Amino acid sequence: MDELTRDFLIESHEGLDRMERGITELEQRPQDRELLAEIFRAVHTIKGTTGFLGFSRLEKLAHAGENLLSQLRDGKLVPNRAITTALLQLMDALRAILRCIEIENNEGVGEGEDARLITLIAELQSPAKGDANAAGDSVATDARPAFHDNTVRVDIALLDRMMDLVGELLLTRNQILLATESDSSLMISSRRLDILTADLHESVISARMQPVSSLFSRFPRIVRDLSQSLNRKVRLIIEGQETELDRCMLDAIKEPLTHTVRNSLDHGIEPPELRFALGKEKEGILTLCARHESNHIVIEVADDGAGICVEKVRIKAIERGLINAEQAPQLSEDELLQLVFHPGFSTAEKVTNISGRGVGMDVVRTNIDKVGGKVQIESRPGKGTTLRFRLPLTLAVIPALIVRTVQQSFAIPQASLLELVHISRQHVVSAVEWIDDIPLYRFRGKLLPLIFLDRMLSLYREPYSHSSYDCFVVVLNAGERHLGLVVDEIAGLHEIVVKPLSPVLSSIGLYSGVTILGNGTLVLILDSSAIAARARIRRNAGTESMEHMTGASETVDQIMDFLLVDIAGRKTAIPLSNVVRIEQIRLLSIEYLGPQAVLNFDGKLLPIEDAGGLIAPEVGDQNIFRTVVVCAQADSYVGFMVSRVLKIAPGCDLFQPGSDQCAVGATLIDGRVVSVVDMGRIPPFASAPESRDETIMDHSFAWPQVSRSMA
Amino acid sequence: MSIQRNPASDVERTSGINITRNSESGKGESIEICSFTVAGSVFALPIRHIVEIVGKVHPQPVPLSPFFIAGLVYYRGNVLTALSLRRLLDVKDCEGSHELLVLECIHGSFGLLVDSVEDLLVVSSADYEAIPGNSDGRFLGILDTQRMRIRGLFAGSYKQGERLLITLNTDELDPMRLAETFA
Repeated sequence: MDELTRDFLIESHEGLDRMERGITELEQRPQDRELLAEIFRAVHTIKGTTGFLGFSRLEKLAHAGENLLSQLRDGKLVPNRAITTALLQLMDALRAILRCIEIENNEGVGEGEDARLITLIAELQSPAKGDANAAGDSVATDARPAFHDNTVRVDIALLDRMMDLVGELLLTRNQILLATESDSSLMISSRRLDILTADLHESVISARMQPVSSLFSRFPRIVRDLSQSLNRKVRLIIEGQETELDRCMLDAIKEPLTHTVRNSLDHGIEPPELRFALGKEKEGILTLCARHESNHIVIEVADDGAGICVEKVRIKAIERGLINAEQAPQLSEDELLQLVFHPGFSTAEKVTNISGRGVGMDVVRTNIDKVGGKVQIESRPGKGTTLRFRLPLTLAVIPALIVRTVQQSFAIPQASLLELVHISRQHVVSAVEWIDDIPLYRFRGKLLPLIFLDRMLSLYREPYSHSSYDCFVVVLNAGERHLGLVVDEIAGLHEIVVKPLSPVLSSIGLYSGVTILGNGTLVLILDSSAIAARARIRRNAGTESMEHMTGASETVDQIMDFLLVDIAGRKTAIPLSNVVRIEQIRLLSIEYLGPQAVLNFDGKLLPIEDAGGLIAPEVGDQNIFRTVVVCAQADSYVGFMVSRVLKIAPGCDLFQPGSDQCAVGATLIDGRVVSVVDMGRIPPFASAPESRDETIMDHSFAWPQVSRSMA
Repeated sequence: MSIQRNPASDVERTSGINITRNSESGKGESIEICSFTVAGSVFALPIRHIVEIVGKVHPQPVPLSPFFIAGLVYYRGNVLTALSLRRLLDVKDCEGSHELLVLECIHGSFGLLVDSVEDLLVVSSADYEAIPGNSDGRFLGILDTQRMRIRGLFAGSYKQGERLLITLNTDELDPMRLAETFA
């Protein structure tokens, strides 16, 4: 496609957009000459250029439209519903051809349809002769320069580049200001530089902004068409059109907004008869409103329709299995309303081609989430529904928390941030609980795995003990799990510009990008889900045998009883259901099969687990007694050598934060995290010569599998 | 100090850097090269590979990055990954600021951190001697390093009176390529 055609297409599309806006406004202000002149100009321009480029279909259509419009403009004809519809049809036809040119580089076929439309337009003009002097004598306003003359089209990539360069300029300015502080001769110039740079920065930012009117302008048409096909009477009120938003953001919210408006018309605003019966105005009101609100743009779609019936939502949610019947009454109205954003949820009784297929609100939310925005819904039954989108001003800048560890700063996007917990130096030791080598923090009754940022990044720290510093736990939402990132300092929230990392650094997998702070420092942006993924690898390495246990212990209830024992000074819990007997035995009676300590227990061979090393020191002393807790797991038995038995206590299951999965290998007893004995860790017990010894071996026991390689 | 190079024009003369026309034989095509020092040794790169020389940089280290990465450097609104030639040559890091050569590769721009830029010189292609492909640079006797696995890091040498100027192979310096080499 040559440049001329491309320019023509862009210009024509813009012209048609203006025409669309004009036509829908025309219904409200049919006498507005300026409006008519504007529409006329759009069609006129298309006609002029098409003749030149040789697009005959376009030319014929535009010519027919121009005739009609010139009569309207000159007041020889008064716009009515039929004319408006014809003009809209004309516009659609022109658009279709333009699209065809765009894709196939020709006008396509459809002369028959064109002829029908041209005839229709011609017919509309004929009665005009009768009331030609209806608004006859005013002077036509033409030859006014089109308002787009003072604009230039700029490539977005260029704007991005300008943004980068201005960013650099800001940093250089900061350095100059610092360097010239004491030099009075340079002071004035550097102040001036300061002001100019700030102004330039602002201008470049605003160059990327577009008023929301460019987005809102499509709605009068949509509302008009929909209200006709749905038999609704709707008045659209648009407020805050001049509010500006980053171009990319406007593109991103186009679909969600359209969907919301469709929903409002289909499910919100009632048919006129029903409204009348309810004592409302027959004409429903749909309000589109945009405004600034503390660094955000808020866009509201409000209708004065039926609202959402919370009871229906409750019933539907139970029906769809989103909540269960016991849960339902406990949910607040607000919480129930949020369910409409759930995938596959729709309260519409019948499926229309406008909406109600149950895909919609979840898509709206996903799209808004993607650009870092939030959706809120408010509804009063019988009064109407308001959907509120809260959007960041631009996509390029995201809010992030700057944290520091070992004098290095890192950024964490606010979107993955849940909470910040400060642990003062005197509490550091007691707050962090260890199970094997996994640090845990009890947070709101749940077990939060901790990750020490300095250790994860292998940062060198002067020999230290954690107890001598305050620390902060940044609670992160990483996909389905929560985790706590331990850092030294919180340096505050910043708006950051995300810059990509080179492939060699992004392949490390922990950083999602890098940013430059106002003082010129480069700060790596941490990817919270990558941190969780990395941490899981370590967790699994440490608790592999415990994971083994999950299968067996999955059925346990929320609360189960444990036998709390002391093994060489360490408190350990043994599930009471596994405990068979507690025995006092002579150390002498312990025998060895290879390296494995065993006990002849009622004529059965019992392997002994001695985690605390309680046997070793006193071997040989005949009169030493020891306590052995005999446990059964499935068909196998094991004896745990313990220092002493403390008590039986109920333990609460700890849950993996962010999931309903039971934490393995730990329980909560008297408010302390206690590790649970690992029944799966019992070593496979066998060595060939001994196993043949029938006097020890009792075949009624099912021992763990004998590994052949050991024989 | 910052030299901006416009590929179309000649290298700008800036304070501290002189272009020395210094061809031994006077024959052959003349090539502009930039020489720089790392741990007392002098190396060079053809000027056409260098986009810009940036002085006084302090790279921001990146934890868990490959050993040859010095860190990140802010450069013209973007963030450059800087390689440390010292680390590549298995020489200890030194304190203080360094100079950065901004180079281009197929994966985008990157920086090469050197101790200091010495000179911009014009040499003749007739004085060039390629280093055999299978050599790892040890024979030059200037460096003895275990990390000289990067075959072809050294492209060749130019005779400069008494001394040899060793040129580096820009393609081999591509960070992604290095990452594969040391994977």
